[in-house]
Amino acid sequence: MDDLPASPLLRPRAATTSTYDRPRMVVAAFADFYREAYPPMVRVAYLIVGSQGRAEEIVQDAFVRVHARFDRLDNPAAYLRTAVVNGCRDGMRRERRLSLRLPGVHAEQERTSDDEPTRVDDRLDLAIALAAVPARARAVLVLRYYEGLSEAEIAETLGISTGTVKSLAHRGLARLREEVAR
Amino acid sequence: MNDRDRDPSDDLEGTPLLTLERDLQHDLRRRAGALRITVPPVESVVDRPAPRDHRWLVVAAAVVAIVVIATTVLRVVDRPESVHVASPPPHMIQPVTLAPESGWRVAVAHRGSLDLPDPSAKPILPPDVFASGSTGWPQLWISVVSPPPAPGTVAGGPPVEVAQPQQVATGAVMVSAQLDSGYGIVAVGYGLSPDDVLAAVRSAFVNPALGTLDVMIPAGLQRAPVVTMVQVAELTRSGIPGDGPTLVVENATANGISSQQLAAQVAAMQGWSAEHLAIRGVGPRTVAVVQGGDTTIVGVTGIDPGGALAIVSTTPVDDAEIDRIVDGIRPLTPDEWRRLQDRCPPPSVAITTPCS
Repeated sequence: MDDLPASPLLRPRAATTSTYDRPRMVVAAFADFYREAYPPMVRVAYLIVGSQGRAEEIVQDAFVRVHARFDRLDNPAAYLRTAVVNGCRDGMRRERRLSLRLPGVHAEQERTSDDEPTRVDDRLDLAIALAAVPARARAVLVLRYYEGLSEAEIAETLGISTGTVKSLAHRGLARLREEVAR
Repeated sequence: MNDRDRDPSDDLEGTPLLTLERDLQHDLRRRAGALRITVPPVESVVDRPAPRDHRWLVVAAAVVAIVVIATTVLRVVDRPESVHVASPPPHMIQPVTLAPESGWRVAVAHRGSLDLPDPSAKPILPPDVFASGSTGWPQLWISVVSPPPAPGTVAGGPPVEVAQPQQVATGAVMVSAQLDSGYGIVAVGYGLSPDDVLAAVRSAFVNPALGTLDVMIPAGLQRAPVVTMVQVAELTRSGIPGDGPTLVVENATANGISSQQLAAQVAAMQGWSAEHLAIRGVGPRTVAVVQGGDTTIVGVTGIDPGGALAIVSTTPVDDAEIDRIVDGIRPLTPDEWRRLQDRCPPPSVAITTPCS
């Protein structure tokens, strides 16, 4: 642990806050977990929200939540994934509300999307076309086709039934199909 | 793109992927892999305070809202339909048959709206129920009446017409009775057991043949928390201790009717003119018994501080005489009171038996 970055978290402190009272092993384990899980979670969030900047914010927020209860989590990875996906959905809901109140702002945010629709091998880039899919269905498709999660795992992550997962996947693919057919 | 174009080589959950799915998977991986991600220092996470979770506030607000809504709904649902009992004018007479075979009549009118859960559940009980005890909570008890006396007399006149009993139920505390078509007793009980009301009515029962009772409960009687009990006893000259007929009225009320008011009403309904009537306050719980000549004594007591003594004389009374009478007032001894009661026992089923 000597190679860990100097952080108030890692320095012995007389303070009695829960953060600083944590065993150093837990702290180190979280640091390892963070470094390992951060990139893939950013990618997942990015595929859902379409913006790397927003994806990183969402993932950082999720890690803050994970950190607050890291030593109590049986499966931090699953918790993190759920926090990230929920963060994506919350973010998209906020944007949607904002767009209803301030259409100009929303349009500006839309333009900040990292990519414009492109074509891959003379076909539509489906990862870009995914933006046309409703948020929940989009999350299902990302978790299924990028993360490779089973329907049960997706259901657990999103807090929905497997039947709903199937339905959302079906509708998401149908929507993609429409985009492709254009 | 053909949906039936499955690629058996790529399978997430044992199901061959469609071309669309395979292309999507490919594009997602390619796009995600193209990202240049720099992992921020872990301090950027651990040094940030965890966001406060306000979901419990939302849950608490939702619970409170649900409770409030449910309570409101339940109140509306459980609230008994407000029954507006027919409210005749205060002086409208509604004759009621209580014991047709007895030839006695009662006339009662009540007014005001009564919130009654079930107006048909608690009819006024006929007199024989008085004897057998109450089965419920009729708050309005009506005894028999006899033809009203002519002014200056104590009895007389034909019977009045008969109709169906009034419907009165629990909580019938807004009652006024107009008994100018006959004699009657109205006992309004609230917060007392039916037996208490029954006892009050029984003790108030008098022999209508003697024509000694007529009581009006004014319209101002509302929400009486106690029994209004009027007791009238006809004392013969051989009785205690007066020489003339003595009317003893006990007004155990806390209903806003003063004993003076009641005494005045009783006396007036007896046909006694104001010329022959004097009322003096004598304090609570006092039964006035005065001996003397031609003077008729009306003693009125009440649990309120305004117990009154009404004095009715066969001859006009003067202040000196009244003062003398008042000075002579003393409470009944228990023995005198018992003898008074024995003289005119509370009637039961034998309500036609004169109290002699």
